[in-house]
Amino acid sequence: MPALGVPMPPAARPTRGNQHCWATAALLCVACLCVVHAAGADLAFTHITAQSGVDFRHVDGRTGDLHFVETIGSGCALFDYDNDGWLDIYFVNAGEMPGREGRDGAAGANRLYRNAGDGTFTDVTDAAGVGDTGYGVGVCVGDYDNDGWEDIFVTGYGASALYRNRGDGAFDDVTESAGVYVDRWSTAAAFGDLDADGDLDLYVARYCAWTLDEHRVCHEHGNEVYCGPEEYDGDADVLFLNRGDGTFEDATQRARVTGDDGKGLGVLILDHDRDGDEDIYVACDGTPNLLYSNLGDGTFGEVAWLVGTDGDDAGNAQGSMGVDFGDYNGDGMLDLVVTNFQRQYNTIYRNDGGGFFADVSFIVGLGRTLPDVSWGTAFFDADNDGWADLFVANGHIQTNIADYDPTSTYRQQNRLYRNTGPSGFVDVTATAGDGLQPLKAGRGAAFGDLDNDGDVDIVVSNANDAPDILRNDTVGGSYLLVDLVGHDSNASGIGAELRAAAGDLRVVKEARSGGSYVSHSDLRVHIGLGLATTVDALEVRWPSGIVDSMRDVPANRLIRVVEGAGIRAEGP
Amino acid sequence: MHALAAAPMKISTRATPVAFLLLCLMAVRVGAQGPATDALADGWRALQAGQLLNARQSFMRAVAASPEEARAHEGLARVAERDGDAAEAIGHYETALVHAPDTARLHVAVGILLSDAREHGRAVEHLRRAADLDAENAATWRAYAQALWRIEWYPRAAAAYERAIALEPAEVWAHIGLGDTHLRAGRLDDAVAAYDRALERDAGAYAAHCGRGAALSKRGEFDDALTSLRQAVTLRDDYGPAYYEMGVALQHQKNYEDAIRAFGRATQLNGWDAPSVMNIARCYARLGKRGLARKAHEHAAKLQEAQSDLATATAYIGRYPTEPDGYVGLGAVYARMGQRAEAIAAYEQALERKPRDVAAHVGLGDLYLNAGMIAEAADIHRVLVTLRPGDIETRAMFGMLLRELGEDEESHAVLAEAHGIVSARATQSGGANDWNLFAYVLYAQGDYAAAETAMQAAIRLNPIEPSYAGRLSQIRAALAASR
Repeated sequence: MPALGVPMPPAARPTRGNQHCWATAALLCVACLCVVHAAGADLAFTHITAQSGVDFRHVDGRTGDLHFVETIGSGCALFDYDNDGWLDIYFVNAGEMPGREGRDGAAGANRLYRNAGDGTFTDVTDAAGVGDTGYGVGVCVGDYDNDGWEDIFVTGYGASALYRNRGDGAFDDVTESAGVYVDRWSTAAAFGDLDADGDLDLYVARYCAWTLDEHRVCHEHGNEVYCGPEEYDGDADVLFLNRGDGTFEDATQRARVTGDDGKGLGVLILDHDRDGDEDIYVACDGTPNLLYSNLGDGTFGEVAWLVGTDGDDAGNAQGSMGVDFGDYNGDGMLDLVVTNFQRQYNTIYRNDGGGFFADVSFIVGLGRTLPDVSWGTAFFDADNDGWADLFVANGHIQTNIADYDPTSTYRQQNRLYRNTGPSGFVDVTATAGDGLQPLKAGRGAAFGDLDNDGDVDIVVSNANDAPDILRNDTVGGSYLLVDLVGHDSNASGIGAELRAAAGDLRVVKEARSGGSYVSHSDLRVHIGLGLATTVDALEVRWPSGIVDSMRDVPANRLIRVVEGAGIRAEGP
Repeated sequence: MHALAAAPMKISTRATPVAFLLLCLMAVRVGAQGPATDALADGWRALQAGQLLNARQSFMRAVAASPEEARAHEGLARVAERDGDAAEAIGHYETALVHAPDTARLHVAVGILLSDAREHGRAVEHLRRAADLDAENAATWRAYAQALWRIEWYPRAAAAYERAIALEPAEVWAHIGLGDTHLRAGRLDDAVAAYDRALERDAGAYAAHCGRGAALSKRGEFDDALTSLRQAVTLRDDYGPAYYEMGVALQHQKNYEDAIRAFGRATQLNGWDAPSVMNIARCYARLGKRGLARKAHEHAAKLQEAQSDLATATAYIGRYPTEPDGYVGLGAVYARMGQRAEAIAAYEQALERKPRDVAAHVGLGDLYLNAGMIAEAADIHRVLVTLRPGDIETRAMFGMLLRELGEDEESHAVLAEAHGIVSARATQSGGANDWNLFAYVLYAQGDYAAAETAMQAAIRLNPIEPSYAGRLSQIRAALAASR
């Protein structure tokens, strides 16, 4: 694991440009590249939880009474809370069932682990003051007060919490004073500058209108099982607009983003039509997914059905959980992936331009995901070859599923799909290292370079279990890691679009908060570069409209790009 | 692949009823002796002749004479099945199985009915047992495979189809079923291979062409997919699933106009085809025709809701076959979708189970009213008045229907009685709804001026009730017309 900024030797990996040129390349060379690429043997994720010092264990308070709220697990966040250049890990925990007499909140407290930079982590929860004891579900991160320190928003059943980062290693709970208290059952959340005023707003999805009083048990083939979302009404989402003075106003009704009928579990703030303003995508469980297109006048219009991202190719709503937005096919347009319930394939919506999408899940090789109940996900370049690969965390909600469905199990294998370019995604789970082999009830997943070695590692939050920290040990290509610092735009750079050109390679990325399933990934933008040693051109288009263009940026390092000023630092 | 999901194969045990009945007759001759024998033989003969009432009576005689005679219960099940009462048939089959638990054909028959009723778990259990008992029967394995397919246990369904194919390689539907199974599981190459094997045996197997086209489309091979799909509709012009798949392929090719035509043809052939309507909406959206897109989307959403309600009602019937509620739900869905005959049949099934069921009467009454079937509606309301004597609206409607039928004297009496009840309520309690109902009765009696006064009283008491203003307008229009 070389230190950040130290150039890495590029591995013998094909770049996207190379692939395009294979037909004219020397026969021997082509054969070599084909073997390397098709085998997929060099994707390697190692399970390092035990040696990391992370002793977190998720608890969901299950008592056998089969409370619906126990099924959805919790998320996690990767972010640098102390600005030391190393990603820290925040785990959301659920705990004992809210409303139960004698509830021990401390048993289910959230935990923050500080990255020591040597492969180990230290629990700093108490010192940081972020050990929320509510029945937590989701998390997102963003510098809402533009002070240069990332803040945390936590969702959950019964309450939410906003932790303001003081910059001295501790946080203040400012939920009430900031006006972002969300009651009932909030799940996914994301920061984004939805009104383009230079500060971060907050969108919070709610799931179902479930309460302990309405608890009931369902039956499948004579077995008692958890009731699903179809048994309960959906609940309204919440949009908070940042006033810029440390407080937020609830603009849900005015902006027309109530999500009344939706049962939201995944949230992305994204620019789906590249019109320069931020839109909102909500992955819903059993109801049509929602895409709120920003109309630029403070209101949004729901267009998921219109643009083709509301459900499967037959227009059926799916049991959607996780979501990400990335360019899987290298056409310069960001595509959507949405993870779904068992017997509903995970959906890839290819961006066809003009704001429209097409369900190409089968075409790209994801049609076989039917046995899995899928949650956290991301397009990320696992081997730095310039193509976005795909990770999906899996795990059923019914602990006794195997008793009545011989095709499924409660604990399931997470899956890694290698992007082979024109041939689509290939499931390489079996050969991708010991980190991918355990069967767990996966839920949230966050992605980021924990060890600053230039590749993307993964943290998975498992329901009622210890998490998985998966170190990426793939011998991959070159990379560039870009830390964004906004000036006119929000300080986190959330919403910035990056375009990189290296030889024939073209990569487009967006910096965003939240995403996956109730989780938050590294805000630094990771770009895989294949064999390239230099980025010929790098362009950052900030939410403010300012564009920073850079030339001939050396690969294999972290750079800090400051809005309006270009590269201002390299290394941690 | 929604459309293929509707009917991936045919089950051959149903395809040979005559042969089956002959077998049963022979079984009677060589089987039970005594008082039940003649009744059994009579029953099977009557069933073969389509004389269902006679058959039922004969089998009931046989049961009375020999309650443990499985074939008598089976006969009753066959009668109920022919009569369209699957729930009753399931009950008789299960009784027959109590007395003859190792009879494979009984397990197959009840398994198929349970699968149709979406009681998948029980269906699979029966069919698995049938396959154990009759392991060399390809038809049994196909029935088992289809039940597994319906419960979406695809690896097991594929294995069962493969077993059926091993026993009877020439049976085309088994290959098609296997192809459909692989297709649903995302095993596209295996699906294409299975369809190809079906086509090797029967080049005219339109469903195999359709499935092949669907699989190729999912692989992104749209031109080849369209070739297969066009072949399917050449062989069978009214095969809706092929048009749906053509629409999907054309849509991927960004040929939205032709895709709309293909989806449109699919909806002509199946008015419940929500996926086609949803994709028509998407095509219009791509063409920039947002108004048409919105309209199609709203229609598709209604279809989806109706299908969901239909599935719920069917599942309820499967679970509680002797209760009327599932059939009432079924009737309501059919009525909403304008399928009057099916709705009436469903409500009648409910009334067979509970002759004085209020909801079934209300549904049937509304159905007849909306269809302008005044006499039938009046008959239903006559019963409803006895079931809900305090319901003023029912009495007023009954009075109006009688007047329409020229039964003025009875109409007058019914309305006068309603008037007496509701006027007392209105003047005693003074509630807005009582005045509203009073206005309704007065309107039915043709006393529009008094109806106007009563309606105004209702509005004074509850000014925010949105329906009252419309009713007042209706009364005033009638008043103006009468002057």
